[in-house]
Amino acid sequence: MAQGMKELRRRIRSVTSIQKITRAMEMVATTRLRRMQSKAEGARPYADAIKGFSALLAGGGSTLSSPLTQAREKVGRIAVVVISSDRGLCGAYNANVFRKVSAFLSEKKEVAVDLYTIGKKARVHYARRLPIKESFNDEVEKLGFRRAREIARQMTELFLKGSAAGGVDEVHVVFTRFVSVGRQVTTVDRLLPIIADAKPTDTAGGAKAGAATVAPAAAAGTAAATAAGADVGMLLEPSPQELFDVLMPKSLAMRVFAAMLDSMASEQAQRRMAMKAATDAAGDMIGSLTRKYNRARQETITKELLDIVGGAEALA
Amino acid sequence: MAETAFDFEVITPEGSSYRGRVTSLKLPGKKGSFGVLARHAPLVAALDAGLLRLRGEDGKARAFAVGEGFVEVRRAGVRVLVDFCNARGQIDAARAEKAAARAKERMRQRDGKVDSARAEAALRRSLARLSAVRLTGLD
Repeated sequence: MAQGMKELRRRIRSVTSIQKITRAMEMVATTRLRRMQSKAEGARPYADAIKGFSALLAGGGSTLSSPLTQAREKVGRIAVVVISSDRGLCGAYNANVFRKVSAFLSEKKEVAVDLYTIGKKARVHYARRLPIKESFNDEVEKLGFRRAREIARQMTELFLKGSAAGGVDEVHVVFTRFVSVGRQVTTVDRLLPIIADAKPTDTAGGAKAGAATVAPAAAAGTAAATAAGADVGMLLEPSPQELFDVLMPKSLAMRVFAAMLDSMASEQAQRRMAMKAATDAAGDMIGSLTRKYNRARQETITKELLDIVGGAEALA
Repeated sequence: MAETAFDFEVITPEGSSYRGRVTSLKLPGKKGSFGVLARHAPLVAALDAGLLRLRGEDGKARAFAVGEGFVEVRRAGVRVLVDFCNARGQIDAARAEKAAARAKERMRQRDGKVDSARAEAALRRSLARLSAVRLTGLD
């Protein structure tokens, strides 16, 4: 029995130290999550303003076109950018991303795929499974807007080349959308060609949002028409088309950046959840081990007492 | 001369980097630098990487190095949307100098492999930072 007790004591100690680690990781993830959320929060005004501009330009009545919004009839090759984490112990975060990629690729069996990875886990995961065209960076958390802009620029170049000239016809991003602390959704988003979201309904929403952020005082605009009306006579320099050409890459870069920020926040949220579950499980385990240990100790004591009593009786 | 102040904000993807009331602005427009005073006509313009100068309501002049972006002038105020916005204190002059040299070098070797538009943009960014650092008579 003494042997069993020693073993139990050892196990309790080891589970306790594991619990300490998981609890610490949980707390670290909580702080990181908060930081990521505030980063994402900081990016929102810019993203909204970009959307507002697009709506403003689209609402100007002139027909704007960009090669970036034109869908190709025949898609020969696509690029898929996969955003994963650098570290593990974040629940099913990466597994979900990879599953989404597999599902997406099985839909696209007939086209060639160029894989781009962001994050160490994706690079390692696909290293022996699929040819990776390029791994962008191994430090997801340090990625800033600069990097997002670079990636967007590179993807744009590939897209403009087209599959006939060694480029691609579509660009997709697989990332984890951060809906709330309790909900994250793995998503495939088409980056290029840009989905012409400047359709009437969207434009209305965008213009209203844009106007509201710019001029809350002048936001007597009940309808988008009013908001657009306020912009009549607005000077555009250079031409709307040129502005549009500058705007498109910006909005792409912003979308890549937003996907990164969302993914990072999601990663931390899932790590926190996984670590909380681990901490709780460790607590349960310590409880049951302690019970076992106490029972074993009690048994030993009882046995010893019986021995003593038995010995005393024998002497009497 | 009592100058009229107006609301001004600089927004970058990493957050709002300046917000306050100013009496005048000088912006690096794509077609050349231009100024904005109160009651400017509504305008949307594309900006190049360059120097943004402003005079606050308190009469203090400030300068920032900004990236490519847009300005939106409305009656309610002026907003600038740029890739980055560095105050003078945030700029590493040595690094900007190196970046400028690198960009110039890349532009010199015109062998087709170099993306000259990209090198030019990089050069403009680094020059913007350098000129912000080297400005005198501020703060």
